[in-house]
Amino acid sequence: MAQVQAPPSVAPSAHVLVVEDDPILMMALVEFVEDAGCVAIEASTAAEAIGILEARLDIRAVLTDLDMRGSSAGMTLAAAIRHRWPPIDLLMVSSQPWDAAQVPARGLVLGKPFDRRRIVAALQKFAA
Amino acid sequence: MIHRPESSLTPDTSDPDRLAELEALEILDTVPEEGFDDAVQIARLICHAPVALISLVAADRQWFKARAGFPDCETDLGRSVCAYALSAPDLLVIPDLSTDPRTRNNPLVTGEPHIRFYAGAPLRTPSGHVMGSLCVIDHRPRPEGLTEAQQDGLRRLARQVMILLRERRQLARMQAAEVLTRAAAARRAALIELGDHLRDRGTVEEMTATAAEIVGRTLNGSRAGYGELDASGRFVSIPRDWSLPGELSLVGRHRLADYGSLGPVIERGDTLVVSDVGTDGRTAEHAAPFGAINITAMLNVPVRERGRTVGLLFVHSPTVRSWAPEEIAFARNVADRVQVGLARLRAEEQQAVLNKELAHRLKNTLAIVQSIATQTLRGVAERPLVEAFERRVLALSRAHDVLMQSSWTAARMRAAIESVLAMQADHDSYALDGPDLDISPQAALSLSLLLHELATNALKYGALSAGTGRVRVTWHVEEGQAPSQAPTLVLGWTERGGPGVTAPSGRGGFGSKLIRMGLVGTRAADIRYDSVGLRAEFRAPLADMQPQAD
Repeated sequence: MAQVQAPPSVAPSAHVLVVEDDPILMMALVEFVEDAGCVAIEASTAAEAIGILEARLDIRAVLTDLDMRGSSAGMTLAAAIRHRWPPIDLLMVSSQPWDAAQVPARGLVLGKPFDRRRIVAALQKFAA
Repeated sequence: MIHRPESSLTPDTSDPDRLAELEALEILDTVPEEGFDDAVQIARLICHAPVALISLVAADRQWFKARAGFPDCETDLGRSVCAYALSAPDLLVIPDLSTDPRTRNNPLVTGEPHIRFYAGAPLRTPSGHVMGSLCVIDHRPRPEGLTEAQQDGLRRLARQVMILLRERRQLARMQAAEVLTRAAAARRAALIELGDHLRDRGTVEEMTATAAEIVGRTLNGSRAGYGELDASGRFVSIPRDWSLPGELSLVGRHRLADYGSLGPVIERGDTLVVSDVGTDGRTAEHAAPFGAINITAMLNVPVRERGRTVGLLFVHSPTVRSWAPEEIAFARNVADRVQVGLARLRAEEQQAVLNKELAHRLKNTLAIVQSIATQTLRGVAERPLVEAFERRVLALSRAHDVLMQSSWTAARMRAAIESVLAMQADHDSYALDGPDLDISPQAALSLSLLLHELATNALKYGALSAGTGRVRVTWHVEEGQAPSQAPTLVLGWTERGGPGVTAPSGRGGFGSKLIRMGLVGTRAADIRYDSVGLRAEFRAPLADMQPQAD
């Protein structure tokens, strides 16, 4: 008789979509997501990210870099997510300052280089 | 009576030297003046004559600067007796004009007002030319002529009139020179004023509008402005202009071709000087559009960037005006200064873009450095060490943020302190007290890394490890005791309200070393582990902390 593992009593980990075109930065961002106790799903372009969001319904939050190739790609993606998937939380990282008016509602922009504490804290808040 | 040849019956008034001298007196057709009026009244009194005149003999007429008892202000030479005075060596006295062959057919003798007696003293210049005469006239013949005393009086009075004429001209010349001097002074003052404005103005529009107004006012124009030439060189856009009340504004876009063939001159960068748009070959066929905006004369000075005309400084006049060389030079000078000012603005704009791009790349690169380090140190068991590295990079970046605001030339000390401390804890955990000095980029980096280590320790072991603790950060400049001693910057760090602290054992890690290095590597660090909390004081020569003067 096969042993059936009982489902864990804790809530399943929240899924966070990480959008980053730089592989080295991707490693750091994925680590932040895991530090926050979440599961990271990787996308290296905005188009890939949209594809994943259309295919899966379990994405709780998106962590995206705003400094990707095609300078405005990151912010365009963030705006599209806020428009099409309003419940998804948005955490963005950027080396540039952004006007509050440019940032989608309930979106948070944190700077580069990374402040691990603040990024992890923000992700944990989203996942809670 | 001496017989005169017939030729002398028609006096010669055409000597060009004499006429030039008369012209130079600038007296013909001027308004009456008291000094000359007095002279004719006195002549009348001396000679008991009903008529007295100051008559100036031009090539084709005689004109009276002053007259008493005579209706007309000028006559033709056919009616002139004074014309005969030109060749007279002294007083010309004609006792009976109706019998003298020179005057008996003169219409003033044969008809109204029937003059009969004439005595005139020549108005002779120092060079010997006679301009005309001071004369008295009677309606009855005077066979006895004038007495010796009257003759003497008339001669002296004529000399006074000559003096008046010369001084009048002298005064006019001095006044004209004064006007020129004043205009030159106004132009010099305008250039100084312009220099101040160009330094302060932060945009192309403000800069060019200020320059245009200064040129317009200084050259007494009716309108002045700056128009930007588009890339095709065919259209001029005027964002702002200055004009006298009542003049139309030319704000807007204009096609150069509508105003004549101005393009080639402007493209070459030459100053376009037009005294009269109605007669200037480049504009004569476009009098109507100029008329519509009340332009008769104008100055257009091109402003160039990188070998291309990018704009025009213009001054307009509603009347014909021959622009003086110094006025043209002044407008050119202003345009040159605007050109330099524009180049400075462009350079600043480019610098700002570069700075932003550089800051952006630097911060992205620091993020990559953090990532490489944490991935490289994946196997390291002491994660706090990895995090300490990450946060030191972050502290470094905070200092760069503050420096970027001033293009990496200097940082405000308070901003640098606030920025790095905000990384660690809330503002209300800290009390900051000190003057807001400018510090050099190196000093800002050193200060940021030092405070970062102190704050990290305070959070881990010191005052901020307990919720109630506070840190006081103070700084001041200590002047040297002796004049030879340079001023010193003193930075204090005082923790209170936390648990008691003791000195760490051993040499300590990188953080402890950084703290012992002090400000800009001076090693002047006094660190005391008091029972009430850590107290540290760092000192550095102020000169080492401040940005180098240019």
